[in-house]
Amino acid sequence: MKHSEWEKHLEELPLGSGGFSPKSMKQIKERIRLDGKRRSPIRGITIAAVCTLLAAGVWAVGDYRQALFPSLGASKTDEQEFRLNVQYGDKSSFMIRFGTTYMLEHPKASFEVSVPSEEYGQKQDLASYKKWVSESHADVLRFPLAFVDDLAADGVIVPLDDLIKQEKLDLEALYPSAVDLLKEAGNGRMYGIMDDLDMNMLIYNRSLFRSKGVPLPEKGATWDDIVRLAARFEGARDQGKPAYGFSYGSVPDPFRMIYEIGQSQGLSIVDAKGRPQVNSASWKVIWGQVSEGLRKGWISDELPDHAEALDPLTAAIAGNPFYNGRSAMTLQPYLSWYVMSEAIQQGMLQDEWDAIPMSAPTAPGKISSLTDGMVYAINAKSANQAQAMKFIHYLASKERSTKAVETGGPQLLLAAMPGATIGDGSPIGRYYESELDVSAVLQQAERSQLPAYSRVMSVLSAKANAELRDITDGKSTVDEALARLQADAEQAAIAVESEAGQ
Amino acid sequence: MRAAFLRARGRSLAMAVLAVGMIAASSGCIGKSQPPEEPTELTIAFINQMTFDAFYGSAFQSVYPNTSFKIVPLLDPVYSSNNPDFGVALKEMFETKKPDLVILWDAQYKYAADAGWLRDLENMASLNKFDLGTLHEGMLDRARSNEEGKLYGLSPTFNSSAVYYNKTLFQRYGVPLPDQDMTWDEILRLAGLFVDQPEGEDGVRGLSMKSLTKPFYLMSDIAKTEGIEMYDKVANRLAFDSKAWHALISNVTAAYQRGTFVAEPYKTKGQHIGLDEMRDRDLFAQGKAALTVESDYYVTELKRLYVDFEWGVLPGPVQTRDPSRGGDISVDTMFAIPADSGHPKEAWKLIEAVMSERMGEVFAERDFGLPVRLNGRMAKNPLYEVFYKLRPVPLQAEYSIGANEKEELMKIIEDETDAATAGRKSVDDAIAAIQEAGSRLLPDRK
Repeated sequence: MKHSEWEKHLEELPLGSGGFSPKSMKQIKERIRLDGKRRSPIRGITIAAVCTLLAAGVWAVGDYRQALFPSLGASKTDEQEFRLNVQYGDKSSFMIRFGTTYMLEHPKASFEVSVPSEEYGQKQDLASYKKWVSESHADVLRFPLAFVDDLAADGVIVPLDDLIKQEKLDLEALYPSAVDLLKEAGNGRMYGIMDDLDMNMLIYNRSLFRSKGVPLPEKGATWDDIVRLAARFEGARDQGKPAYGFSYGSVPDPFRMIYEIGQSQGLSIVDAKGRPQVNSASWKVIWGQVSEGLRKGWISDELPDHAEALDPLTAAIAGNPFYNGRSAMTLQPYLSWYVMSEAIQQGMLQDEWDAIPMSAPTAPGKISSLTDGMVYAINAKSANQAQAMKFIHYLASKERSTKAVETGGPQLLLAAMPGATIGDGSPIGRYYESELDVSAVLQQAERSQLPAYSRVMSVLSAKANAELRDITDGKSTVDEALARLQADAEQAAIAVESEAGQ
Repeated sequence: MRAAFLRARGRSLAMAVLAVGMIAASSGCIGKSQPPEEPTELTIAFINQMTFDAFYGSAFQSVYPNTSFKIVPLLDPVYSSNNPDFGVALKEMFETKKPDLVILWDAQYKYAADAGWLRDLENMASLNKFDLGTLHEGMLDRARSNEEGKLYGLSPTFNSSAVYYNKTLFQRYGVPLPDQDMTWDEILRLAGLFVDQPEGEDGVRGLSMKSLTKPFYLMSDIAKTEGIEMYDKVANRLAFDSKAWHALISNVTAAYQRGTFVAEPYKTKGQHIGLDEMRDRDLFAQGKAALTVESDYYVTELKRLYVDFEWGVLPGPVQTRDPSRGGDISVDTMFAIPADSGHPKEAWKLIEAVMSERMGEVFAERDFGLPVRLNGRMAKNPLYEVFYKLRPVPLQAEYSIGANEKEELMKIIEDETDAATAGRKSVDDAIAAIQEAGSRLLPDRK
């Protein structure tokens, strides 16, 4: 994956890092301090740039403001001073995203931030997480969806159903599919709320479809439907340059495209036991379709001009054919909306567009996979459960989401849906309107936590694009390529097993 | 979906005009008890919208929840002090955008203050019974560092430096623990005790500062603390031929040649140095340096690194002449009200909010600077109180010289002091060469 640094920052965001990965944060600090120390003339602009980066990293703009209105979760009657301990990536990001607003709204509140262990940071697995929680004093925990059932079964987190009633938290205000997901994961009980969630949707350029006389994609279209439509753009041109039926991202990364398409179709690279299945019949079909699209030119593999010389945002816009009005369809999460809105504001994308779910054949109209999502829950050991619930209520308040949207954010979908006046027909509204296939999402979440998953993913990330190039160049076939990748993936999975056995 | 519907950020001109009219009509009342009526829109010059939202948005919204804060972004490099003509761009911004409040970098602030574009906040503070006495003197001093010495701005946070020492290393080497309030001379002398010890360990230094790339930068730090001017602004000439500079260069050269401290250039070429290189350079954090002088943020870093030695932090380095002064106090951004602000009272309310005790508590929870309030938690925290103890040392005079000439001059000064510390030149010869360059590049004012 050759994403730009800037995209990497964005990618790092949801991984338990609290708006910014600790490493990025530290690097930013170093840069500020370094340039500050010698009163370098570039200091001001450096800090400014860093601040932009920082703020881009915590692009939950309205996030910091919303609690200033009387909200359901924000009682001003807290009499006693209290210090709430929240799990997050680092304190500064936490304060920027949540702490400042919460402290201004709750005059007696202040925060400790507990940063998960390095071991968990590296392994991202349940065992090291549980180990860290057992030693931690965090009142509020933050973890991936796949952990909910195990943590609940082990009594690490408390069911929130009664606390939700006491706090009068309005579940109706939350994104309904996320509530369903949590109830499914918690065996009927709510053990947390989901925040910072995201999913891929199919974004299409209505104007381009019209000008080429191709019928528009319909809600719930499957990848096969999209392929049929995209293929009709073969040989198309726009603004004197090639136009495409489908494109993905700002830098050609066909494997990532295939992976995201497969996820949307409910496929996983490993089975329930962690065995690689990268050469399954379903994956083969997608590999075949994408390599054909690349070869015939209705899928973009366009390299951006001079991308290295551009600032990351400009490069991300310049490199994305969809943002330049030259691609009929793309698949992207809400996270990318920030860049797309910049492209619109800069006049790069002037066409009409819309967003619809792309579905698996088994769940028409629904979405089968989340690209992001974090569960906030309460540590069973916490002596501050009432205050922890107040904080969770704040996260899940409609006012927070409404304010975030009003002020240009958020970066990812927040727990509650924004107010109706904002949500209807807006980009974020399109995402909140989507319904999730709860069992498929949970299955994908569970599989992505299997130890073999990340190893198999590493193998594919390292080798799949070269294999794809050979296929499109006619040097290899999909069957041959996937056979090789499957063999490599199996090797990697065996290594995981033997490590676990030691 | 069309682009046009996306974000309706701007408000119509009519509304802005209306707001100005409303405020003008209600301008009779002044004072803390009667906050001005909530404006429809306030224009604020700051880095950009995102940074504003991240840092100050919620504080401002707590004052005016229904006001739209229109941000005039200053991110464009034309506003950077790196641009020799940044004042021109800044002037145009003041004139055309007519901000109600400006949040400026220190260089921009100083320029705007000297240009007479800002309102004196001393009066605003007293009219509103805002007690400046509760704020750190260092911040106020930096705010008054302008030609008229007036308070044109306020900052809710400041940065400072202090002396960090490795207690474990001191005890292992049998060196007495450092005292409070050490001068640079005392620091160098103490650091020298760690060199050439028969029982000494390889690579251990007395003093290490991870961003010190040339001995001259240490000389410059010492000169700042001691108030030894490099430059005589009145005569427009360099002042390296003073006795004080001769002694300073000689001392630092002797310490350098003895190996008391290291000063090496970065391996990375370019402006940004990676985390890994900084970690490699950080001998103190590795337990290989007895002393370092670092900023307040280093406390956070040492805690985060879980270093395996005992360390302490002391106020300093202090000025020999006046040991109540010292530390390298700086302020990143200044909040100021343009003289032409259409909403000065409302802008003041926003400054009050950001300077409030509660926001001080919020800043205390962040890693971006120390809250300026002297009665806050941070000022009483044993790890941070040292940063509040010293009074500021005056800033060095700035060169009245073009950017290119200044760069050339600095290069000569660095090269000549390098030659002295490396033993390639005598201190006298190095000083003579520096003075010669000075008289060439800074012609005497007649």
